[in-house]
Amino acid sequence: MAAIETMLETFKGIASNPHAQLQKHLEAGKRVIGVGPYYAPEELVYAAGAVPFGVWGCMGAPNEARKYFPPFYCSICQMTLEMGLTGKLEGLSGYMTTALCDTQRAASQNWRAGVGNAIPLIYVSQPQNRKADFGRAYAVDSYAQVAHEVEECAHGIIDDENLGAAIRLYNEWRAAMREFVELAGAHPAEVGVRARLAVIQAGYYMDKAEHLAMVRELNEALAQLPESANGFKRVVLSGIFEDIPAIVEMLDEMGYAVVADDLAKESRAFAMAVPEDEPPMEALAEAWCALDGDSLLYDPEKLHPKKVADLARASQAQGVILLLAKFCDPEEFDAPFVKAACQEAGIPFLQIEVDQSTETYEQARTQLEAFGDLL
Amino acid sequence: MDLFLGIDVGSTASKCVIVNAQGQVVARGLHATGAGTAGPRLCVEEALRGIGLASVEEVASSCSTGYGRHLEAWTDKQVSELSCHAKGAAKLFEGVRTVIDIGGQDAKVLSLSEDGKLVDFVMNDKCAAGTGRFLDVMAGVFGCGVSDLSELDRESTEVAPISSTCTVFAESEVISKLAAGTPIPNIVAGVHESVVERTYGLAKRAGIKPVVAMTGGVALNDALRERLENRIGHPIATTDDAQFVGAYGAALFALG
Repeated sequence: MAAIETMLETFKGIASNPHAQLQKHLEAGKRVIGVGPYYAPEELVYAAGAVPFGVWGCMGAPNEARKYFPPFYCSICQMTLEMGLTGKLEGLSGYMTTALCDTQRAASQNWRAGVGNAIPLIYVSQPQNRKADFGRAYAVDSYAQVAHEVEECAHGIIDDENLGAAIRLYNEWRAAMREFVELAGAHPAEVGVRARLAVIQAGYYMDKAEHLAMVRELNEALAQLPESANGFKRVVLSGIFEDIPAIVEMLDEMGYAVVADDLAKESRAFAMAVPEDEPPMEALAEAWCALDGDSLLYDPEKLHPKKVADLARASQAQGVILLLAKFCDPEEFDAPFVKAACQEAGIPFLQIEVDQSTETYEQARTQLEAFGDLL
Repeated sequence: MDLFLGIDVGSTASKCVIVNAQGQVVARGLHATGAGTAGPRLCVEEALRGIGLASVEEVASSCSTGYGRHLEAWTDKQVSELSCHAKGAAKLFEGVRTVIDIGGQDAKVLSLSEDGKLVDFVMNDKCAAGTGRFLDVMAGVFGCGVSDLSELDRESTEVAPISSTCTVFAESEVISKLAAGTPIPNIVAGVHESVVERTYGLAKRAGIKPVVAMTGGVALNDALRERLENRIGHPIATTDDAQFVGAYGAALFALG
């Protein structure tokens, strides 16, 4: 147990100071490329010899970025640009972002206008028509173009060998993260909500090989312990992200346990499995096209809502909490369907609006307390 | 006699209710200031005086609720106002399944099971439009008290629509209408319709099942409540003590 606590403290230290990690990579002579939402092919960055570094905005006010956005705009986009404009990302050799929603697409161009060549944008255009042959072909072509841009920023060459190695590493890492999510859900007494989040956040800032080794060690230690979920309020978190300190503290304080999640920054990102027996560039594109059941993806059969309810049932959750990212159109469109799917399955559902520029969440406290009562 | 105290520390008012072991109200206190002020202490003192007690030490158990519940560390327990309004309403209104509570800074709709337990809820988000604060601001623009709005609405000949969903923008809209010579009663009717539409949307999200009851200070606005009844298509039960339902629920939680 003491060893687990020590490991978790290490993760917390890394997660709470991304800037120190960035400096560490730079001091080691590495080039670092920022990677934003969602499901970007960061294996390309790793293969080129650079360190992928997660950039999903941060808590704060978008004072400089307001010049580029209307008021009602996704806080991740606003705060990411704010970081770029205020020097918080100094040292990055590039910033890779996808454009799965209209908001993100416009934000990527605002990055070009505001940050410009100081941190070049690597724009990843992924097809929403993922099941058609033309969609797959588009993904392969797009990733090949992205690879060239990554090579320029990383000053490295991507070949089948180093990309294959990166794919194998990332597959192992995602598998370890899936295992961690399950183990953390079964051991909330040892891994609280904040600690669980820190383990995940650290993965966005560390070299993936180092993070993989640490997560595996933690997983092994947790697997030795008896389960400890009794007495906790077992919930599934759905949405884009949970990194709001006030919300995470409340969840811990009120005895909630995250037994599984449907968060774009967490389990949805860990779901991808890239084929290892195909040419690597095609395999990366193939893995993207295989994704399904996600609010951010074209989902004509509306698989996502049912997936959330099924996840809650499979993980024996008592309820689902949707952390609805404010002004996130894809999530807002899906929210009524997710609620209906949960209600149909008899699973209590709570929706709380979150964004990176709000610091007071007293209304959320009331909602979480009442939700806990009705569980 | 064992007594049980509930205090509801809201954003704009503090309410206290003391009940006996049978859950009957024996004393109440109300002060028109809320969390972070002397209001909570003053409403408790008023309720204690009402039953001839000198201090909170003399009650068997206590429970705080409302926005400022965590500031009342002297109480034996703190319970969210959602749970307290549900508990209080279930006791007061027989067979209630839907509770609409419009308080000072938020509006909520609670769904109760057949046996009176809270099973779902929705709250307003993004802004204070459609809450008691919205009506306070509008009453300020009209130069009247919030308690006068109901009578003014009854004098209306038509509804002057208020299209904005934002309190600040709606205030500008009201001022524009006043400047254009629109009669105040008609604008008040528009303000009420605006609250009704927001509340209706919230209620639809939660699902409306009769019996429907309304709690919180805004429930005392008869004209608004009648407009809401017409919109949702169900009669709405309420009580003259609508403001005290949260505190009453808290007292019932203290009773156990």
